[in-house]
Amino acid sequence: MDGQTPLPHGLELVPDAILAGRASDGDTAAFEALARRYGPQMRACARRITGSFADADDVVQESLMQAWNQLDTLRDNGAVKGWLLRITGSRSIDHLRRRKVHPELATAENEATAAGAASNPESAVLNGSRVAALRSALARLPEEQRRCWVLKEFGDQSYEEIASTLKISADSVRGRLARARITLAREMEEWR
Amino acid sequence: MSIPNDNLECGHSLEGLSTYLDTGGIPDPQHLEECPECQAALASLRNLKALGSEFLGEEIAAAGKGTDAWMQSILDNLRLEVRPGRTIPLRSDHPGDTLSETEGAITALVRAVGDALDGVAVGKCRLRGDITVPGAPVTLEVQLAVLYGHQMIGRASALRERLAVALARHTELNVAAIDLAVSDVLQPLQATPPTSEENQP
Amino acid sequence: MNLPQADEVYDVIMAVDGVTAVYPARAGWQNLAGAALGAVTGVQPPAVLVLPAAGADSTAAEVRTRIGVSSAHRAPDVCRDVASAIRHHCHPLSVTVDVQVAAISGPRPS
Repeated sequence: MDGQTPLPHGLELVPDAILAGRASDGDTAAFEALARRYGPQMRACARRITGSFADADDVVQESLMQAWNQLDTLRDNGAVKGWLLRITGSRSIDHLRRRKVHPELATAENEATAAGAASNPESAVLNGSRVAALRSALARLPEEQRRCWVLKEFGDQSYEEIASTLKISADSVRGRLARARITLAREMEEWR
Repeated sequence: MSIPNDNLECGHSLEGLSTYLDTGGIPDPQHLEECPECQAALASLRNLKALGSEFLGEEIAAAGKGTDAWMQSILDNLRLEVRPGRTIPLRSDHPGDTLSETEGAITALVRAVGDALDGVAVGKCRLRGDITVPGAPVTLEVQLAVLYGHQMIGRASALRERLAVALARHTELNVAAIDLAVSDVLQPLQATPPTSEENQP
Repeated sequence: MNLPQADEVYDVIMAVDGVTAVYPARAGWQNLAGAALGAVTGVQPPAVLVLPAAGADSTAAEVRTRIGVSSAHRAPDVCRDVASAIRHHCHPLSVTVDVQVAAISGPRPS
């Protein structure tokens, strides 16, 4: 049953700032247009942090819920993309914290993704893709470094924002991000 | 190898270079320009950054599009729970029963009808009047964003007609008027969502 | 007399022509705390609430739910059909029914 409209949609052409302004006026259609525009990146970011699309979908839904409720705190309507990604990053981390308390919630998909990516550098090489090699190198990073890297490169967050999300100091973020990059860059060079 | 462990032989730290990459700030910009070691390490980090962007692009493509079923189901949940709006009563066959529709369900219906029209997207959509009282006169106000080149004249009455039919079919509201207004004319520029058109594997 | 089982009532509602979904009677997502709780415990609020009628003896009950309706059907009619199906199912118990249409979807509304 697909009664939805997959056709190009007028609101797709409306700039972020206008949509965000209307959304904070209570215009749900404008908010949905923003959600459709940045949903895929939010989902990608949440999936890389939480480990599965199932978890990512929960996170995206919670993030959009929070965004809708807090639209009046968005000062610069043009900056809505970064704001949505920041919320996504922070809710992804919350999601992991909850899972830590309730480990039985970890899904089979999580384990499969993590294990597959971590133990299989050869398949990345065979795959012949540098991106695949980066993906598996990333999976082998220590958790805290990986989070910093994803929040930075996928979530486009500043050091201070990552620090507040992870509840660590900005200096720790700086250090972990550098460590992550050094390891990744080295692995990519070895791979080449 | 251009990426040693922590510090380059010139004494600069890779952490400093990593920060420079993000902020453009470094205590010794002059040195950076002249030091081949720093240059090589920076090039490495920039390559990684570029590869990271490529990776992100693939991940976004793998995550799907904003029009996919996963997004729709998230939006359906949001519509259901966020701002369901006022409660519109429905006639019931039994005294004591409380049958109703949410205002949100009706505005979503209005949007679906409007969006089905080519080159038109529904923006703000309001039901004016006391919809919580059976029989009270209600005015539907709809703002439309219209794609440049799609004339609304002539089609406005068709849309009004479709909306009237949908409201008569799915509600018991006493619709006194349907007001349509064009709030935006959209230039058909390239849309810029960061989604890729690639098919998912 | 026993109250009807919520999951049986759920099946009865889903079987009504034009019903596409049965949603939790009380919004589970209305606050984030609720959402977080749902995510942690995996427990969703029940889709159908069956309550003993306040103050009455055990021969009366109240049933509350929210539904999604296919736009191929008239939403008000589906809503009344649901109320009637619930009442029929609960017979001879005397019930009052609270049904809310929370979504109208499906094939393009015509």
